[in-house]
Amino acid sequence: MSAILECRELSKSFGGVKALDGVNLSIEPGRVVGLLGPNGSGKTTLIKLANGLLTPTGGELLIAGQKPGADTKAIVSYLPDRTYLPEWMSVRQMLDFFDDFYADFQREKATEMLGRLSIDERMRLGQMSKGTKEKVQLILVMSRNAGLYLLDEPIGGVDPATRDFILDTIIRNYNPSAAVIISTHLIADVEAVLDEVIFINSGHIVLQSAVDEIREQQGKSVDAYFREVFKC
Amino acid sequence: MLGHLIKHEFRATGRRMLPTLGVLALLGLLANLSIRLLESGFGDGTVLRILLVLFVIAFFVGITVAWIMTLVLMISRFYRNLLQDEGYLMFTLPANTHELIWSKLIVSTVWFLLTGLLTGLLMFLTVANLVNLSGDDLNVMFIGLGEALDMLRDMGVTNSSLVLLLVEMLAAVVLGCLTTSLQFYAAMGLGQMSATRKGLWSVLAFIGLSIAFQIISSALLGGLGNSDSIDLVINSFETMIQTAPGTVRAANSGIGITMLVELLQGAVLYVITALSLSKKLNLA
Repeated sequence: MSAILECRELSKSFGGVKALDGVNLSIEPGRVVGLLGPNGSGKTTLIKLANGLLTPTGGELLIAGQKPGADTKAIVSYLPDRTYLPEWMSVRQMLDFFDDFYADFQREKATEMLGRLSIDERMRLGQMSKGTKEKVQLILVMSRNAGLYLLDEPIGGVDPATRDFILDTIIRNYNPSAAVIISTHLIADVEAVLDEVIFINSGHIVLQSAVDEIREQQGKSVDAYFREVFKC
Repeated sequence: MLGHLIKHEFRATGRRMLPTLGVLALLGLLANLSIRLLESGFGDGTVLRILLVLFVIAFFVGITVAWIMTLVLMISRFYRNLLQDEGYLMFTLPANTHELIWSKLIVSTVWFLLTGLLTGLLMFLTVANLVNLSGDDLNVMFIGLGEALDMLRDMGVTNSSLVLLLVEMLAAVVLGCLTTSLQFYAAMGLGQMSATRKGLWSVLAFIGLSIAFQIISSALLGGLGNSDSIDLVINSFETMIQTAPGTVRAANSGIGITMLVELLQGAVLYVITALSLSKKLNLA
């Protein structure tokens, strides 16, 4: 099976600081992958590079064999680590927006999820709480029938109930033939949904392994193993 | 994809520009009504007359505000929609950088043109009111214009050259709007490359670009002035304006040269904008 995301000697520097240094990795479709690392390890930089929001300093990153561009963006569904929807727009206008730009957007699915949360489509993003805005963003992103989902810190800074909702939404709604990459440092919360993990630290890939392998070989959970590897 | 981008750009900017232009139109009509009432001697009370004068003043303030609003909206839409948090949405759409830039350029140019058209129309109405222009006067004006055109045709000026002149003037206005927007876009594109103080760097880039274009145009004009070619140009223009068709040709050429310079400037600014957003994008 060919990789949906592949990095070859990928590097990114900001000024003199190396955020990623010679990263090599390959992710195949049909996997839920945890991109795990402490703050400032290079997770967000890697995801931004995959979205074409940054350009590599060296090496290359390929999505389904292509460099990030308009074609790859059509198959990548991205949830950034911030609220990025225009405040003045209503939920219905956002649905129109996603409908217009993404051929794989399933409006009925989004409408159904919004209805379950009793989110009024006439409501403007600016009128919503931060938590509700994040839920709307997640619903929009997960209502796409994408080939690759890149979710940057989807459960950061939310209460446990919302955390459960987010993980449940991800697992119930992603396209099974797609890969899902969840970047986080809250491992215990996501461990149950992961097939594979990538440990990243100081711009280097420390480990890429199946979750079951870690449990079998190390005799401990991913969370416990992460704490051991990244012990200060 | 460009069509969708333009549609959503109109939706985003229209909510600001339509009320602005609506208020301007209303102020223009109120000002014109006030002028009529003042001239007819309506209202003996000083307070009422002051109110009518205030409407006229408000109209002229409204024109200034509408232009500032159009300019500020052109800048803020580019900055907020592409270079701040909303950029995470816009730059991950299946559209390329050129489509993103063109959607902004086209929509801001349309708003500039509409503001200009409305301002022109309202100013014409106001002047017509001030000089008591009647329907008959307008007829005389149109007849005079027709006669002037007939005279030019009798002197050998062709219809096609007059149409070309009109098209050139309109194209020069559109090109001017595009280049103005691009100078701001290029400055913001350069400014966003900085890790900190993006706004400050954008302002400095704008000043830098303005100075650079001034230096280049001065150098070109200086170089041209010192060469023999300037004499050739002046001579050919002097020869052309001896006759009416030649004068129209000279105007055609003059506007054409100005447009060419503006086109070159716009192309440089476009390349700076596109490269900074595609190769050096650095969203905070």
